[in-house]
Amino acid sequence: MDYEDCLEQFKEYGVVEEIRYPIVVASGLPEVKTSELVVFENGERGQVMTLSPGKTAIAVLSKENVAVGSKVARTGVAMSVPVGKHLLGAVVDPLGEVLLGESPSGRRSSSQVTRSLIDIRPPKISERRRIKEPLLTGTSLVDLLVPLGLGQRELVVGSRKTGKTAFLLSAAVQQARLGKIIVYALIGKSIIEVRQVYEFFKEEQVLEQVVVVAGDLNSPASIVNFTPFTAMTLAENFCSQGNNVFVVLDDLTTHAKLYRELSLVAKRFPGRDSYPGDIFYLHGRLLERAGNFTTGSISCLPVAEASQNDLTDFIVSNLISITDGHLLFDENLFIQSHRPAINPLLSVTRVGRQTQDVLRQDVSRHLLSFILEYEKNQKFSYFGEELSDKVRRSINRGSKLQAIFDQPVSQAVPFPVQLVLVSLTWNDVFYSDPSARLHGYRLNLVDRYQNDPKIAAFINDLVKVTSFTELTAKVKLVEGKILQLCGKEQS
Amino acid sequence: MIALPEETYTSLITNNILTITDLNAAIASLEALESGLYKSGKVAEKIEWFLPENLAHSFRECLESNKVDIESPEQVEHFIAQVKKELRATPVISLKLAFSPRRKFVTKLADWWGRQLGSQFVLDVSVDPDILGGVEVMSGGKFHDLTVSRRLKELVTGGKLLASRYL
Repeated sequence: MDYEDCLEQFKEYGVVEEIRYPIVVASGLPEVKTSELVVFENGERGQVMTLSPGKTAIAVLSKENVAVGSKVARTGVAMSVPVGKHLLGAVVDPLGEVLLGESPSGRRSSSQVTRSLIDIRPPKISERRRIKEPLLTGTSLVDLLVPLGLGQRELVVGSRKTGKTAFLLSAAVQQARLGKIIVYALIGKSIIEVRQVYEFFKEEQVLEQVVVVAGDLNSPASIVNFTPFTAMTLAENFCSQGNNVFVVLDDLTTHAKLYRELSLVAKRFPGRDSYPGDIFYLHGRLLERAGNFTTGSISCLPVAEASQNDLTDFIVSNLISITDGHLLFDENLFIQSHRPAINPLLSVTRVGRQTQDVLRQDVSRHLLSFILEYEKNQKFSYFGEELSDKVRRSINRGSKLQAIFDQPVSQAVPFPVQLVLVSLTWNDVFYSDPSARLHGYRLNLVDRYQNDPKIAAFINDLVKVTSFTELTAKVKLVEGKILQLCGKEQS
Repeated sequence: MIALPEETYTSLITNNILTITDLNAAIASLEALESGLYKSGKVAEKIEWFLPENLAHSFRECLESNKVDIESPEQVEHFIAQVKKELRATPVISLKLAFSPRRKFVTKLADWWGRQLGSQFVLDVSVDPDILGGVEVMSGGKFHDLTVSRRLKELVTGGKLLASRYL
């Protein structure tokens, strides 16, 4: 609808009196509502931010500014974006326009495109189901120690440059290979980063299952602000068609900052850290839209930045309380060259464990208690005391486990292989091997598992047990064969 | 600070300022006077020099009624600032006509609107021959299309079937 049509339909207009780009203040518009879209004389769009007597603060949704004195009319509708499978394989902006990549089904004419409102009420409890199925990321540390479930909302939190994006990309590729649809939102990133993410998915040959929503740095805050909502709207559409969707929101700290910027410019009253009072509600109603539903599921991994592992930051603590757990990317672990640098002891999963079978729960329990013991022993070893054989063995096993957990991006490890490798380490098979060699063993085993159905069947059969003790015993019996598959030379 | 009563520029508005063009011209003249206030010479002479005759007369009356010392550039400057602020805040009624009206017609329109509203306002008159006749009014955030073109459009849309029978 253009300005003239809107004016004729709603018989209301406003006049721009003040510009604080990207916010403009208009007088008039007596019956306009918050979040309503408005159209300016020059065809530019805006969204109502705040209402005060006689004045309306409007966020301009374009890079072009509007002039003081220009008129604005109501549209009577809220913000909506095009949705549908035709967007798979494309990079779209927060307004739903395709920026990069031609979707396989080609462009559709505007009449064929279905549009959905981007800010809706989250589904009711009657539409939700218990989270029962695991979400395997292919990252051993997460799958074994901090398991996730399909439909879970797990916050990914950590300092800058600690490998969060690498982990998320790896998890997204793994999920795409398992048939899920990926909606990857980049909030306030540079165009180069957007391009890199696009190229990554292209190289991994999963692009046809991915939609990248990019709110780049060059766009005004008023547009970038929509990015996570657009991503969630796209995910909801896929979910309503019976798909399981994996959503990454990278990152909500930037989103909160942009929202704060807009709110301050719109002269909303600032609260803690100058964030507006509704910032919790904003993120809460966004993340509540994810979950396990009767039609499909939306698993959501929002990202938050916490400098120096500070989890008491306002936005981080908000997000921690909204989500079903968090993965903490530890700066210190990153410096120690652990990849991914997730701290399993400070990470939390609230619903992931209920998706695990008896064996997985048992393995997880054993490993977590061992890691606690290992960390304690390691601290003792710093004193230079002569260590007992038991402690030395424990430290060695811990370092080998750490090497098993260290894995490069896009080198997903199938879950049965993870179990076998952990069992081998538990049996101290790699006692005398340097840690660096373990990467090669893992690579070989994964390769054989993925390319040889017989070996896959053998390993799958091996992990059909109900306890970790049983598993390690079973693995011990066929140790020689597995080590051969790993490419380890045996004496 | 000089307290500015509500009627400060009433005479300015009613006598001289009918349209937004008049309003902008008056503000521009006041700004010119403001910039020349501290140059050598009497302020009273500068008022005559910088403001149009009718506006200068009203302005002097305003200064007197508000007890502003006409020989004090500071007081006059402050007064001008307040008048400008109030002039800028004057409600605007936008009218779109099919023809370019003469001053006499605009005065008639202003009188009529003045009687209807009973408050200060200025008219923003624009011309669009496409509306054929009548007027498009925009005031206080509300839009009223009272044009001939709109009326004809409604007639054509409503009587489409009837018309097609005879074509």
